[in-house]
Amino acid sequence: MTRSAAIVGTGQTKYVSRREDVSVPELVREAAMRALEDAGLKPGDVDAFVIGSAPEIFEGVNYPENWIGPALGASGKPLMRIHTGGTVGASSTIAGFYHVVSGLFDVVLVAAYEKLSDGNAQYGLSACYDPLWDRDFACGAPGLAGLQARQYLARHAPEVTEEHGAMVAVKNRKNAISNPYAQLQLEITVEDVMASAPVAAPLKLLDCCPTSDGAAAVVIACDRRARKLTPRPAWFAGVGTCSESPYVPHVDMAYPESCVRAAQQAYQMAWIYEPYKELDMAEVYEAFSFQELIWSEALGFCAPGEGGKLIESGRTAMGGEFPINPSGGVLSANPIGASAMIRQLEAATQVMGKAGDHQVPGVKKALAHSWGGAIQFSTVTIFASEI
Amino acid sequence: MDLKPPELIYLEGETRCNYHWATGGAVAAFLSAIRDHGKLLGAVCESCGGVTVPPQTYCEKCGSSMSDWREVGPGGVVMSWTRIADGYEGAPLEAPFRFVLVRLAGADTAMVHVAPDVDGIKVGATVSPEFKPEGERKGAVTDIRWFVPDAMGGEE
Repeated sequence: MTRSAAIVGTGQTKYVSRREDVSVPELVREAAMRALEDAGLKPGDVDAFVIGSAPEIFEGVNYPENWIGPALGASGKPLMRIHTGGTVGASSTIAGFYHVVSGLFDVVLVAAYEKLSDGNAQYGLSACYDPLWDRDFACGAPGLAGLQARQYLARHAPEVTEEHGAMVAVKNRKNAISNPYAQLQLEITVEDVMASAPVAAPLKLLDCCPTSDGAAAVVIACDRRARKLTPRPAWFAGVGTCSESPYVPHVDMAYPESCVRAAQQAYQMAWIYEPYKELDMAEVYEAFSFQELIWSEALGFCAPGEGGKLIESGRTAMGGEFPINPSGGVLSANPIGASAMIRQLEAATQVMGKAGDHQVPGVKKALAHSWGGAIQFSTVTIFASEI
Repeated sequence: MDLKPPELIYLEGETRCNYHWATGGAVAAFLSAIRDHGKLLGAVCESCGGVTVPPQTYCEKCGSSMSDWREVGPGGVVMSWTRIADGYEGAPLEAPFRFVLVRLAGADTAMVHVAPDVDGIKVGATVSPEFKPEGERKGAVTDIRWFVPDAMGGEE
């Protein structure tokens, strides 16, 4: 790494199930202009642009960067689009980080989005299955996550139960009440979750994320520019990404190797030896409640099989010693292409001390995680208040 | 002039495209073995000895080429399952049904498929494929209708 980089500005749109007054480029522009304003910059100050986008089938618009680029002010500037399944938002930010630390660009704007109400989300997700092998049995995202949750429960019963998943659903929807951008802001109980409609056993409706419209954007600057732009940038301290086989059967879904390895890379780069002690909080990509427990184990916040104990202890709730998903997480809003970036954006905002009502006091180091594909892509990004 | 439209306007549309997917060497061999012989084949890695289903011409673990075959199954063990409660566009079966992860006997990996909605489908249960009748098989993974538990539980 030739120099350091930091997030100096962030922007989000309010996540809703249907955002009907804007087109896709208008939606992404809204988040991008907020990020630039937050950084005290104008589109003309940006050296390069990165756009993150999920499969085209969600909106039915192919090569969307063709229209989104000009909406962000990218005409006449370098622009690239990134796609890595559900991790795309995070991969895009990481691509922006590469742009800056390479020394080639000083200021990069990265934006990611989804407008699921324009199409059919579950049909789109089922169309992501391999046409040669398992698309005939495609059961969308809940089918895959149901297999994952069952494998996890079967491995760790009776220490982990369905109620532990429900506790995550309750905690994160409650956290969302303090996040003005969250879509589902709910005061619910474990009993409500357990009694909600079955979707893909053991997953029930309240164990699952909603489908959302929304966009997010971050401005990344080199160290020299970052220090001038803001008194408290969120420095990239560690970055890890890892891919695995695209076929579900090759992956240990209850303890994915890609997640373990991405975390190892990021911890090594950030000089972190005991993540639970050295980090102050985390934002993880829990599109389904049990995933917060599974990622907590794979990221080393607790030992394998102790995810249930961790949520039960209250230590990951707001006010606990290690809050997870103060924003409400993916369970409270899932604009798919943007969701992994939102985890990074939220972690960075915590480090910058700008998270408002869901600010965790005194955050110096924060972790953002994401997963994508058939649990085949993982990213881990660590932000720090000092570098 | 105020650019605000008097009402929201939506355009309806669809993207229609028919595909013709080449299945490649390994999957084609697997599919023809199901269609013509009702047998399941795994690919064997020349280097690490792993047996994979779905078969491929390359080993995902060690990167070597795979050109050898071994018959696997036909029975296997349920590694995970979920119960799909409601129907959705393009669903393979009428809901409720079960979506299962099965490791065939002799294979090191597992495959996803579907199963009837019965109690006998649980983690660790042994299951067997039910092939479609010979004349109805067309060389697709759906030539296996579903996996049924060897010890049937009652219908739920």
